[in-house]
Amino acid sequence: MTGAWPRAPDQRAAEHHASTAFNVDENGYLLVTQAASSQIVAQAKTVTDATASTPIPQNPSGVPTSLVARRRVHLRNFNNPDTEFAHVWVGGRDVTTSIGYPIPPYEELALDVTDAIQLYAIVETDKPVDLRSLELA
Amino acid sequence: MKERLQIDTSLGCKLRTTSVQLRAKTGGTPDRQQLPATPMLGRRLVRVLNFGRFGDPPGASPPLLHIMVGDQRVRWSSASDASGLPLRVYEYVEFPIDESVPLYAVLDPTLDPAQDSVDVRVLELG
Repeated sequence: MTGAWPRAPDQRAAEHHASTAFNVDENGYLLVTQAASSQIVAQAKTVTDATASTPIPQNPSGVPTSLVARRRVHLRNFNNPDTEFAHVWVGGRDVTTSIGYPIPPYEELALDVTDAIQLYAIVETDKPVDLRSLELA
Repeated sequence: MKERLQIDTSLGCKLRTTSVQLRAKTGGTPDRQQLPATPMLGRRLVRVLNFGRFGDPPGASPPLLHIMVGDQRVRWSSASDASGLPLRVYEYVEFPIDESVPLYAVLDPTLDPAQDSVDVRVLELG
């Protein structure tokens, strides 16, 4: 084990467990990764309902689903801003266009949320949105 | 391959979105308003978006309709006496803070209080 003295508490902990849990690099920094482990799922859902919230993501059969042990969700409004200008609003079950978090065309919202949180979306009347989702676990 | 500690930074069980109508005040320094008025218990992340003039259709507001975001000392008495983080329309800021840290915002006091209030959208995760 190398590194300057005195070592930080994190590094001392790392030394204690280094053989089984993690490494400390040559500068004494703890090597950490936030990379997802093994799974990625992409889905597409055209959100059309302007009166009730739509659970997202949904699988190709239209069934709400979440990736097990999910750690991150990317939501992208894939409408063309020139020809299909429309927002989608994201939030909880009670989401409306008045309180939801908006995603404009070609913009994205990334949320570090597990599969314990069910996300919902809603749009304005007659302004459907092609909503793409990417989940990581 | 090096062994690395994996840290799960995902947020588990709570999500809330709210809208705050940030108003300009007549005469003198405008009052700052809390975002949101009641913080979500157990929150760990807040995202604040300037969504443009309140009541405007999406995409219709002028981009220079600024708000100023900060703590309870945030102020915008004049352009040269401002304290906080300015957000133009459609700009956002994200803070990893819990419910014990209140956020505030204020409007440019030169705006017309009869015409200009800003729709601030707040997303909280916990």
